[in-house]
Amino acid sequence: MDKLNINDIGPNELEHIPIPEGLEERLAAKIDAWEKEERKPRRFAFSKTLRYVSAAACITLVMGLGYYTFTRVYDNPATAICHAEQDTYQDPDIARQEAERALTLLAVNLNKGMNQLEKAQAISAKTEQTLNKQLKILE
Amino acid sequence: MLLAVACITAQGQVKEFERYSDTKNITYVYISKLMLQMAGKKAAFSIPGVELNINNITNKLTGIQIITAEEKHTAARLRAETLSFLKNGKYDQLMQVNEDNEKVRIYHHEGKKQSVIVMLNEEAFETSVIVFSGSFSLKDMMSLTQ
Repeated sequence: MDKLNINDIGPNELEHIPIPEGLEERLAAKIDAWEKEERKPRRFAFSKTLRYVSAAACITLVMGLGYYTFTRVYDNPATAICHAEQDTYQDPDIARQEAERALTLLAVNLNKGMNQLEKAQAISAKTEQTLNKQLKILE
Repeated sequence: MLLAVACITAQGQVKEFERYSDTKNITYVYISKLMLQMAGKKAAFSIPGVELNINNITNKLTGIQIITAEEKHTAARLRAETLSFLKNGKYDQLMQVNEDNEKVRIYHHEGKKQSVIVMLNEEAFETSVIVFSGSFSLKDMMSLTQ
């Protein structure tokens, strides 16, 4: 059988050539597959070093931000909203009263102890003097 | 991120006492360095009847924690836990004052970065703990005595 050349076939004869069964479905499936292939995101192949460098950069950035926030909070009370949230009192006057009360208690108790110590030292000195006097008499 | 956050929150408070901030029957008060600075700017700290300038020590404080328990069992628990912590935490007892039904103990710990003074006040049914943290020496603290 001679091979048919498509250029030798007229438009009328072309219409009479039977279309193979399932060709349309197969073509549609092929086109769908090509579309899916095109839509797939391309994965960038990071090298190991680049991955480590990125991780190190992220950690440095986070620590840097943390340090910056921390120092800024302590340097400028006006911008210290996040730190102030940790305080029990938001009103400096009440905080002052409470701090004063705590320090007063500490000072009063320290003074109580120190006064007793001074009294004990005075008694000890007096006893030593009396003892020395008596020893001199005995001599 | 956690490390950065931890760096911020760890300042000024003794962690061991921080846990009482959310305990039933216990009142927990924390005054930060920032609040002390803001309060100090408004007026000088002074103790009535005592000729002392406590601004000297407040400038060196990074925080004050005040923990109070007014219920018998909670007070006993707070006392026991505080004494246990002080015993194991390299704290030196500076003083003990017993007066009527009140017992006051003062402890001190001087660290490289932070010094701490703990005052434990025991009454019949009440215990209060005051914790002063900061970068001060024992000499600074003794300046509070006349």
